[in-house]
Amino acid sequence: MKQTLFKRSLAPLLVLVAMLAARQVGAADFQAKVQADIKVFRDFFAARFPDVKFADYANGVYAIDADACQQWKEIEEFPPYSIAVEEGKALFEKPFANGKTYTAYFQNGGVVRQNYPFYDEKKGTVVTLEMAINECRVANGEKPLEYKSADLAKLSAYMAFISRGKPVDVKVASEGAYKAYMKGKEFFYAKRGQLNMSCANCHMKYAGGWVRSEILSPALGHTTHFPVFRSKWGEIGTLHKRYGGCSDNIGAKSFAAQSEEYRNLEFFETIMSNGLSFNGPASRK
Amino acid sequence: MALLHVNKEKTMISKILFVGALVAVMLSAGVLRAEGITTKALIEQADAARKEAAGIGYEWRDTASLITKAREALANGKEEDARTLARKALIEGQQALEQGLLMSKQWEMYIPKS
Repeated sequence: MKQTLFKRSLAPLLVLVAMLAARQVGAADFQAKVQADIKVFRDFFAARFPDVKFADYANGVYAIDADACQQWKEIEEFPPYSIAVEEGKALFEKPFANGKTYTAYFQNGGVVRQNYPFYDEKKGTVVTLEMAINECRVANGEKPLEYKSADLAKLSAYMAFISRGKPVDVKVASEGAYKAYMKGKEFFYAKRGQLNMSCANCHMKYAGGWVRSEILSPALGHTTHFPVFRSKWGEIGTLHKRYGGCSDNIGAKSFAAQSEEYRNLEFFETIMSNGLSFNGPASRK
Repeated sequence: MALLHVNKEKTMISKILFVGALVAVMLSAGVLRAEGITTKALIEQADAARKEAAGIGYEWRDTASLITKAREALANGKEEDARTLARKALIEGQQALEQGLLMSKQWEMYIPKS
């Protein structure tokens, strides 16, 4: 009798353990698939640029062109984004109407760049730093900032600045995360627009080549250094503003900043850069 | 004489085949379908193609503005300009849709290998 009772009480526990184990195996399986993709991606760049050290890809196009790198290093002595970082700091520390600041929402004093993007299981979507900044504002009774606004880029730049050196380590631990990752991957490799070009065309196949006066950057490390101060923009801007410019350049209609399409693309590109360090903000031509 | 008759018949068959092929090509490109309708309908056809491409995330940059310009030209009585713009927009919409459908099936073919 006792034995039967014991068996009956143990059975649900065993089922639960089995379910948890299966879930763990599933998560490991997703991560293993992603790791295989990362290897293919890295092998491509290792073969294309055999003399470039892996860590240097965080510097974008300057990793693959010595002359441009030298000019960039000189610019970095008096970085054009420094004012944006200062203004971002002021915005970050300015209390909301309710008296709280961003530090009440973002842990570690805002040193959180390394936590984004991530797949939010409850929301069922990829959350980026810029999206989280606006969530923080709304949670504190403030209006969200326009996603291409200078203020949002400045806040993001400040948080990136104080998070410099933190490793990129984005995980894909669920089916939902894997689906978002795959959507981002598809976006990256699919050709679109009047020129029938993909992200991979410019930033893998033709990386290191010239487009008019500019050298095409390698996709590896693309997301580590944003937001960037672009000479062309004359101000600091976010990764999604740049994505919009890329879409436009190939004759495709751009998606809105922080659209699901661009967030999934950021998710994919950041995962490909796992192991590098966040080093934003940066200056670019 | 009989030989001449056979040659004439061959020529006729060739002409029919040629015209048939031409019609098929034009139909497949939507050209005849586009030309046989009013300018307003042509613009709407272009906009429908644009929306279909947008629905799968492949709308091109200039299609919507071509359609807007076509509508403006029609409203200003410039029908020929409106048709030219609408034709361009229709081709863009159709090609964008074709691109999107192809990519959704074959994007993995375009992953560069080292």
